[in-house]
Amino acid sequence: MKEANKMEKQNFNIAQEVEKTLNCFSEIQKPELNPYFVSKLSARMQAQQQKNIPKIAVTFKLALALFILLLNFATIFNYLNNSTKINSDENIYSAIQSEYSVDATDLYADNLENFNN
Amino acid sequence: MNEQLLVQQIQQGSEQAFFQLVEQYKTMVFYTCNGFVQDREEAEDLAQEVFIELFQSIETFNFQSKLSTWIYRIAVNKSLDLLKYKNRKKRFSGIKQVFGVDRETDNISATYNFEASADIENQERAQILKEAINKLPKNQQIAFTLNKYDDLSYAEIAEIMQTSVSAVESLIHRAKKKLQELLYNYYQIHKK
Repeated sequence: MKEANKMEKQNFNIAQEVEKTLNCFSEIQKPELNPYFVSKLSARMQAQQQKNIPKIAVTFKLALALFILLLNFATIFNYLNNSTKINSDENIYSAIQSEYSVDATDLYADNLENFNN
Repeated sequence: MNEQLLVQQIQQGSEQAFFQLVEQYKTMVFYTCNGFVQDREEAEDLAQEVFIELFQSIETFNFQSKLSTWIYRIAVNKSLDLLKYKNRKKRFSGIKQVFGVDRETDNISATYNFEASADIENQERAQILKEAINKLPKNQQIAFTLNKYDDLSYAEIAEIMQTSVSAVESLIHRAKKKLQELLYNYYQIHKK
């Protein structure tokens, strides 16, 4: 019986503590805001703006480097594309040459024969 | 000055109008942040971040809600982000402590608990309550803090959280129940 009473009292105390803690926000004195809040904010914003300037510069430099790199790639690609085109042109010429048996030395030999005759 | 005009001026880049708005809302923002983090310095820092974000994103404000509601939303989100970051850090330092790497966190919490204050008992209670609130689901956490610390009405909270008044009522009811449970367990372990 004594033990039960003790338990009940303990539970009551805990319940009281819980209630007090749940309502402590209304008891608590709200802190005062720093009087220099606005000037601090202003300084922070200025610092952030100054920090952003090099960021913009870095971004610009990176973009420029990327652009140059892309330009290089485009030039190389274009060059390779053209050289394969030249190669393919040469293939056509040699194909025509072999098809019609046209040869520079043959032409020269023909001309020489004609001239001798 | 009319609030709409003030916002329009800020949207056009007027810093003067912006600082007028800061003057008007600084206390409200500070109290809201403090309600979540329960630390003056951190709340002040957060409040500054709130105003910086406000300045950067004011162009997106389209007067569909009240300006104060919009500012409350930014303040709540910023505060929750900080709490999330701190919880993650705490968990990480817990792991570090297990491996005996970090011993600093003990000192930090000790200095926090015995912060110079007129009502130390209430500060301690607030700290216990804060720990318990941190364990609540996000929505309950927001609703309970805005109601109990910022003294906002259910209707105002509903507007901030973009939900119905009855949903807010239910959130606060569930939050209280869960907090009672958590605090009961806490006091059972830490019997005086």
